[in-house]
Order: sequence, then structure tokens, then C-alpha cells
Amino acid sequence: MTGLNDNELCEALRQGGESRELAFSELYRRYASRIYQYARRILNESVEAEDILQETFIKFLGVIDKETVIENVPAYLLRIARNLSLRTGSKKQITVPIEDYHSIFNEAPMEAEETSKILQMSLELLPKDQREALVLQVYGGLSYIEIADVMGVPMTTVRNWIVRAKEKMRKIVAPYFQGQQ
Amino acid sequence: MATSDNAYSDLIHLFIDGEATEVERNTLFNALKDSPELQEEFSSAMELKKAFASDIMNLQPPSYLESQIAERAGILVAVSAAAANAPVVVNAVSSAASSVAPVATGLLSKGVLTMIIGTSVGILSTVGIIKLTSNNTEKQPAPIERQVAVTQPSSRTAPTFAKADELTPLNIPQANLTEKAVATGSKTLKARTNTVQREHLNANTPIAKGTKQSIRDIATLKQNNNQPTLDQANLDANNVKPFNPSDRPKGEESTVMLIASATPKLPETHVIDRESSRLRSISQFEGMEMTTFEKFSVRVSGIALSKLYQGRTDANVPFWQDAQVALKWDFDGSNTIGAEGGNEKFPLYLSSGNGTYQDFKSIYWGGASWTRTLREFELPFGIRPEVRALAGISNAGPIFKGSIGFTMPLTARLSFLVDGEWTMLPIQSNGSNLIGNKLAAIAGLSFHF
Repeated sequence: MTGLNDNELCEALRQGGESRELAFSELYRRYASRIYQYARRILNESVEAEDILQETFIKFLGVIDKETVIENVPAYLLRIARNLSLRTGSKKQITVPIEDYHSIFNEAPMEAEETSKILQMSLELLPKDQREALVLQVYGGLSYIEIADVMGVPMTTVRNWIVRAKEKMRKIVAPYFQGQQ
Repeated sequence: MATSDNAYSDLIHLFIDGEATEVERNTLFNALKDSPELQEEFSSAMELKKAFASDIMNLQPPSYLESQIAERAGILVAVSAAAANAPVVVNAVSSAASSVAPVATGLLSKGVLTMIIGTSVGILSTVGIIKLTSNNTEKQPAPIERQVAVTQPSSRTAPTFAKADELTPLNIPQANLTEKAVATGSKTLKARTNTVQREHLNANTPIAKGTKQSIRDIATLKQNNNQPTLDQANLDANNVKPFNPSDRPKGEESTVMLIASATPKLPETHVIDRESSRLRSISQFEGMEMTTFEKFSVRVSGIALSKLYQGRTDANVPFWQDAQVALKWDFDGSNTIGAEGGNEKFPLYLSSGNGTYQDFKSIYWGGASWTRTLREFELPFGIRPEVRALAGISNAGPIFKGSIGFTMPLTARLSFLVDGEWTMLPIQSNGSNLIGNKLAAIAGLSFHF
């Protein structure tokens, strides 16, 4: 199954039996991490990210069973994950306590585990659209044009959002990297 | 050019993302040549990219999610997520043949937990990891996984739940192992297992179903050894180099997959749902009355509202006639055998020898019964239909009974029953042997112990 492209795997999913089993495993292997990482960074919650990953694949399999042709599987999966995350995220207010933010940067350089924490906090300081586009690009592995399709905005908008977001993040985390050197 | 120039900053990010056009790339390269500040900014942007890459490596979904999703979607999983994700060269898998082991089983429904002794075909499944460290000093690149697992029930014949505390403790070395080796990496492990750390091999470990079935593609080498060792795992499957712990670099943590049969010790707070092959916490059933039905019961019943055929059909039958007593043994939660006896009056013409007739004949009877409780048709309040058949002997000759009715738990040890009962026994009428049929209503109580 590793040699099959996504469309062939989707076809195998519809066939049922062992083909379905193997195709699912291969698609999961290819895209589960991306979906999970996207959800983790958007929601900043591991349990909710697990739920998003589960629900995304369940919905995806349901769509596949309806004979729907999917041109871009990872983008489609991330679109589902995004919709689910938006629904989940709208129920809670994401905030970064100022004291936490400062404490990170006032302390001595930290290890890789803290890098993750800093990135998450930095992401949450970004405007929502910029964060969304950036996470889809970095963690979802989508191209600018795919992100434009998922978010339903022009590609030039996505391009601006992402470079703005990255530049802001670069400036936020630069002191941390300098401290590490 | 100032490094704060947004245009160049944008180009840096576009270039790193692989989204810059050729013109943009050339523009950026030309600017970078002459601007140390921009070079520093570029370096900083690359650090950000590395940080993202590091973050991505650290953010991996839990390995059990794959089987959970597959289970929800009704798909048997072909890949152990951990095996697929880990840079594993060889997994050596040990598995035991299914064993027939007596375990405590029970049924949980509508707030009533019935614990009974039955026979379960198959074994339980879960996976753990043993970390093994090599003492060798040579450096070798590829890590090896050695995992410990327990295979899966192969049969659904047992009742729905197993009582956790009567399962034998998990003891991998004592397990009857069948060694299996499988190449992973490009070839994935055909096992629907959830990989968990050994220390998590406890009640919180989801037990996936289908494990035994899913290892069908794994190359097998039966060792029939009673103790798994690393040597047993050194199997050259699918042209993968055998694993030799002495080849491993010093201090390297290596793990190799083993699957062994055993029945894990589970805390008393959990039961195994044999339908989904998952552990369930009894706390899930909080708020439900949990009643333990014992295997033995005594039943006392009264007979009322009877009518006799082939006899004195117009006799004035007393509303509350006689009684019957039964000692019963419930051997699987649904089927009960018992010894019963009773005394009943039958409205027969019975010559008293002086030219008159008695209105009733009283008989004593005893026999063996079988009762089937239809749990699948359980009604509210735990009311369950039941059917019963009895064959016995009476002082009037052979006697046969059949009944159908309902039983309802009143307390943990007491239940109430109402049955419609049909009785057949031979009678004599004017010197002829006839078959008497009697219909009656029965009400009674069962005490379970």
C-alpha cells in the first residue's frame, strides 16, 4: 500500500476487507501526525487534539464510503480538522497570561521541551487568521495555494498572513534563540 | 538596505517556505550578499524553521488512537502505530496458542452484574514495552524494539464480561510462547495492538480486538519455550538482519516486540467487555444498582388459578392450592438446573370406596428441572422472561411440567417470579388411564446464595 497514491488508497478503502484495513493504515500513517499537530497547535489541548484526529478520520471515512472523489486528501483532511477545531475552539477563549509570557523570556535558556511551549505561546499571540494559516502551513504541511483553498481566501492573502505571522514569531522567539547560543 | 525592510523579510520567509519565485530568490540572494543584518535575519528565520521542525517531532499522536479510530470505523488495523512510527528494523513477535482457561465471567446489564463461573476460550490482549540496554561499545545506528504483548480472545462464546480479579496475573515468562518475527519499517506489523509503556500495562490500557487474527502475515517460528529471551527474537524475517544485543552500542535502549499469551491481572475496579475487548471501569456504571447474583438459589412458589382437563373440569378449585420448592444451580448466568418437589391437589373424581367421591386428589412429586432466563429480552426493572421444563415422578405416576413467566430482582439476593405452568400427569378415570393436563398460575420468591 505504501506505493499507492492517495486516490488509489481511497479506492482501496471503498473495497472493504483487508484492502480497507491496509489503506486506512497507510492513510493514517501519512496524515495522522499532521492533523494531530495542527489541532494541538490550534487548540493547545492534547485531549481535544486527539478528539479532532479521531473525528476527522471518522468523517473522512464516511465521506469515502459515499463514493465522493477527493482530489487532495491531506487538504481535505485538514479542512475537516479545521472545521472541527473551529467548532471546538469557539467554545473556549484562548488567552496567554502576560506573566507567563514574560516568565518564559526572563528566565535562562531552556531545553527543547520549552521550545514547544514558547512556540505555542507565540502562536497564540498572533491574529487568528495568521495563526490559522501558519499552522496549516507548518504543521499541516499544506502549500499556500492549498491553504487558500482550505480557508477560502485568495492565495495572496494567505501569503501575506504567513509571512507576517512568521516575521512576528521570528521577532518573538529571537531573544530565546540568542539566549541559547 | 535596512534589515527591517518588510519586503526582504517577506522574501526570506517565502524562500524558506519554498514559495518564492525565481525573481524573488535572486532579489533575496543579491540583498543577502551585502547585508550582514539581513543575513542575521535569515539565520534567525532558519532557527524558527528548526524550532518548528523540532516541535513537529515532539507532537505525535498517541499510538492507541489508530486502533481506536479503526474500531469506531469498523476497520481491523493492520499497523501498530508505534511500530509504524518508530525507526524499527526488526520486531520479533512471540505469540502463544490460544488456551482454554477457566475464568470468572459475568453479565452486566440494566444495573445487574451477574458473576458466574464459565469457560472462556481465548486470551486477552495488550502490549507493553521492555527496554533493553546493550553493554557493547560499538556504535550501531538502528534501534530495535522489544515489546511485550498479550494476545487476544479468539472466541466470543463466553459471556460479556470477565471478572477482573479472577484472571490470572500477567506473567510473561510463564507464558507459553510461540516466536514470531516480522520485518518492520517498510513492512508494517500486522497486529492490531495498542503499544503502551510497560508501566502503563494496567487497567487503563485499552485492549484491542482482533490481535490474534491480525498477526497472520507475520513469519512464524515456533519455539515452544517457556521464557522469552532476546535470542528468541533474533529471527531473520523477510531478509532483515537478526538482532544481536551484543552488536548494539553501549547504553542504547532497544526494544523488541514479543507477543505472549497470558491473562493480565486486572484491578477489581475493572471488568473486560468481551464484545469490544476493552477494559471498562466499574465506575462507568455508577448510579446503577449492582447486584451480585449467586450461583445457587432456593425457590418457593405457590400454585393458584388452575384448571384441569381430562378430569373434573367443573370442580371448585381453591384459589391458593399448594406449594413447590426448588433448589437450583445457575451454571452460566442464563441456564439453571434444579431439583424440585411439591404437593398439589388435583380436582379428580376419586372414589372413596363407600360410593362417594372425593373432590380432590393430593399428590407429591419430585423431579429435575431446567430453566432458561432470557436476558436478551430484559425489560425495565430487570424483569426477565424465563422458561422452565421439569420431568419427575409423583405418587400418581410420571409428571411433566413446563412453565413460562417472568422473574424480577427485588434485592441483591431476592427475586420475585410469576409463571404460567402446564402440568401433565396420568390419571385414572373409571378404570381407564388418561393423560391429565393442568394449567396453573404460579407466584414465588427465589433466594440466591
